[in-house]
Amino acid sequence: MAALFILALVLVGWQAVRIKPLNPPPFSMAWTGGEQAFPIAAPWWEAPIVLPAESVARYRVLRRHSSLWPGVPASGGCDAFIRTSVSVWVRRGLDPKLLPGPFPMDRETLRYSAQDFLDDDDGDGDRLDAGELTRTGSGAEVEVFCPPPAVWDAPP
Amino acid sequence: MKLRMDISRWALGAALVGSLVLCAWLARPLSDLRIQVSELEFLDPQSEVLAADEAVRKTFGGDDRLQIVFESRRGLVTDPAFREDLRFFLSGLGESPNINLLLFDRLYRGRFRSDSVAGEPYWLHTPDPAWIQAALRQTATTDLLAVSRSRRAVILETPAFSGAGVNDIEKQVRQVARRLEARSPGTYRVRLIGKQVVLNGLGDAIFHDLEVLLPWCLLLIGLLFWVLFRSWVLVSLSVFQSALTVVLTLAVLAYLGHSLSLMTAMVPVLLMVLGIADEIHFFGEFLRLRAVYPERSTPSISFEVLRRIFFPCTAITLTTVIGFASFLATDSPALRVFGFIAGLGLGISWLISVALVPAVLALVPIHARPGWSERSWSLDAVAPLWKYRAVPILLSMVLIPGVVRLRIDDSWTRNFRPDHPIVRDVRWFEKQSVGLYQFDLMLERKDGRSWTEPAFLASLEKLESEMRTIPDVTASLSLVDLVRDRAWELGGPASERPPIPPSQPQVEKILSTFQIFNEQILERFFLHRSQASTRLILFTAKDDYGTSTHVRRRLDEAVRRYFDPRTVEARIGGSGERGRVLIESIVKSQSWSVITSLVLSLLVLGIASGRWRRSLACIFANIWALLLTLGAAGWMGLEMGVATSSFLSVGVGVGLDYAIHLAFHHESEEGGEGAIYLRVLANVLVVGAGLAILMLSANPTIAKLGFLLVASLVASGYTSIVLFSRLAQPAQEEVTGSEGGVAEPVSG
Repeated sequence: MAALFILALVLVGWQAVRIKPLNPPPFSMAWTGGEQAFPIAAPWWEAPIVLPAESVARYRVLRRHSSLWPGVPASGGCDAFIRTSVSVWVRRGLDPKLLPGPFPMDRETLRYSAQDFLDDDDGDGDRLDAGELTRTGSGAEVEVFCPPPAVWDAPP
Repeated sequence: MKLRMDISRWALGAALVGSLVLCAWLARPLSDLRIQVSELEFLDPQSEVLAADEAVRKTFGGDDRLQIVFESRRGLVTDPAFREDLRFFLSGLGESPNINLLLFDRLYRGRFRSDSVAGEPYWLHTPDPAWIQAALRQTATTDLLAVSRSRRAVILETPAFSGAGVNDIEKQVRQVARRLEARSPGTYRVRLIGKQVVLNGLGDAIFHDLEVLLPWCLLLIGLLFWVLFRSWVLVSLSVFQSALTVVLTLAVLAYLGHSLSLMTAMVPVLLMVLGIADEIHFFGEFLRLRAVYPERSTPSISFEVLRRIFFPCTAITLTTVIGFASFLATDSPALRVFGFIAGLGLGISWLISVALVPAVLALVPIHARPGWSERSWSLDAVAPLWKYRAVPILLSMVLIPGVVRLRIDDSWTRNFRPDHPIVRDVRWFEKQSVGLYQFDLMLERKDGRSWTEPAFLASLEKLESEMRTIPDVTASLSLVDLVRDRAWELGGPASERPPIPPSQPQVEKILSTFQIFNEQILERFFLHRSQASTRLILFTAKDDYGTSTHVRRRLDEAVRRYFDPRTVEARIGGSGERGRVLIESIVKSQSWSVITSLVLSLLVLGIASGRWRRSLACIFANIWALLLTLGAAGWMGLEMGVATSSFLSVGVGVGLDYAIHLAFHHESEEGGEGAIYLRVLANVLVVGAGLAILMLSANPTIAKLGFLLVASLVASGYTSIVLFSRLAQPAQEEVTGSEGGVAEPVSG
């Protein structure tokens, strides 16, 4: 009986060292390189970013807080920053022909309505079409620099 | 002679001190012991559901989330004051490094304007109340996921990165809630809900339970041993052995890197109680022999006791170890760890019993002379009820049919009392929102093409619509909802939610807005980068076995109906499915371990004793007792769950003890044939009372387990005594006949 008992304990001990401690996998996001991950969309806990009035400083702040608009060249005569949240803009190049009339100075704040984010009136693959940027009305705020300041030296 | 005794006593004292120092050194890993409750520890690492979860996690991200509920006692979520206070609350939450992302918060995310803009969607400006009302009516991703049914609470979801992270979030939420209370007294109530909160709460409850139960257990053991033996030496010895066994066993657990879990948390109480079962026989036999043979020296009597008790005590410990070790045959890591640590603990206890106890009995003066040790006991004097043959038959006829009424069921929240704050919050969430648990259906196109094709989206929508008709499914989310909701958000708030666009480019254009608005993380929850895999989430209010099984069956049927398995591969995971598989596999594992331990016990007893008839009788008594207990549980409506079903294997291991004592020990009895029955009754009393401590647990499931264990022990004691009192006469003849093992009379 004693021999059986010792044998049982040895077998149990042998199994004991074979059982690996459990390490539950942490929460993960399916998010890898090549995808737009910065800046994180939400939430932004700080006070809203106040844009400087001076054009170059304003442009620098916007570049620092923007990501690229997918599928559109980043340069096109003008630079447009479309505000998509309290701290985030998307940047894209803009053909001056898409502006609402003559551009009065080096920068201007325009509007881009929600509905126009989807349509592509001229079928050129770019959903921002002529006449969709307005000086009045509702929609996303769009900061346009035309031409963009050439003094950009902040890291991308 | 006296000098030799003195030297021996000093040597024993020195050995005890040395052993204590050694034990203290061995117990050092105990400081690293953590408490961790995780559902994964109950599941086979190779199981299909974990493979599906792994695939879902890699493809779409994890499913562990926390819900932070911000509830107003006065106004609606659209009131300006509510929104301002919510903004204050959110800014406080942002101080935690563990909250950097909110999911599904479609309405109240901090936007760049604090004032609302009429008709504008949430991702452009803070929406106005009319837009919010329309969104709640029209879209899937805002309705119950964002706002409660009462429209008085906002539900914010954040990923639960880890147990420790959840603890930090919990602290932050409570702290900010206090600040909010100071700002707007009595206006708001904040709740933190989530599976990880439930599991962390369970870990706290386990710790609290141990703090309460272990001292009570030690106190009860001491009290019962005092009542039985009237000796402080014996009381101290039993308490010391219990404590030492638990400390060393938990140190082994910590040394091997395991945490204290829902299952292993029961081990300290079990070991304390089961470990001292041997001592009842040691002490009882010692006192009796000393009364019968007063002329013999105590070392001689102590050695004789060890010689007589060694076989039955080793046999009962071995069968109990087998009972626990049978859990090693299962696939569940939690059960396997429980099995080996309880088995090793009993081995440690046995070592202390056969090494320390005889030495103390031999060398420490014990003056107690309890009355029962001075007289002879007949069987009828001990247990007059056994004479009535009708009683066990009647009892069996009444109780055993209850087995057919047994149900399998369990859920995490059943581990708390119904009035526990966690349970109240979970119940609130079930009524006011979608519930804590979810099924993840991962669909992968075998041709590698995109799920943005309208025909496939239409099939997915049909499947989702069908699943939404099931009352147990509180809500669902899929790629279809993302596309249709976003199309509605881009249109006017007065319109209806548009159908799936007719062409693939239109679908993809809608989805591309998630990237523009930095919400691609939400898109990735439902559509893999390759677009060949998509996910349907089904929320369920309850995680009980019945609900989960029903949803899973309906989901299987629906998937078969809408997708050809040759073109689409379906995998099902998620917390709801894990819970279902967990309960099912645990109960099946328990059944398997019971059969294994019964067979192994029979083989060990038969081989070691050479008496197969008696060994078989032991097993029969045990099965009979388990059937009585299961029947009683069936009539009482007790469900078999993760913890409660473990009474079966423990019941086999412990319940066999009585039969083994009666089968293999009574022939060496000087105090009459009833003396061994008396000791078995004392054993039932002490072990049963000790395990009844589990019924004081704050965890209702553990309390039920305590009841089932005590019931199975009482039943085992009863069936063993009934059976062996019938077999006593033939057994005596058998013993005096050809079989060996008869104890020699003690000579003076």
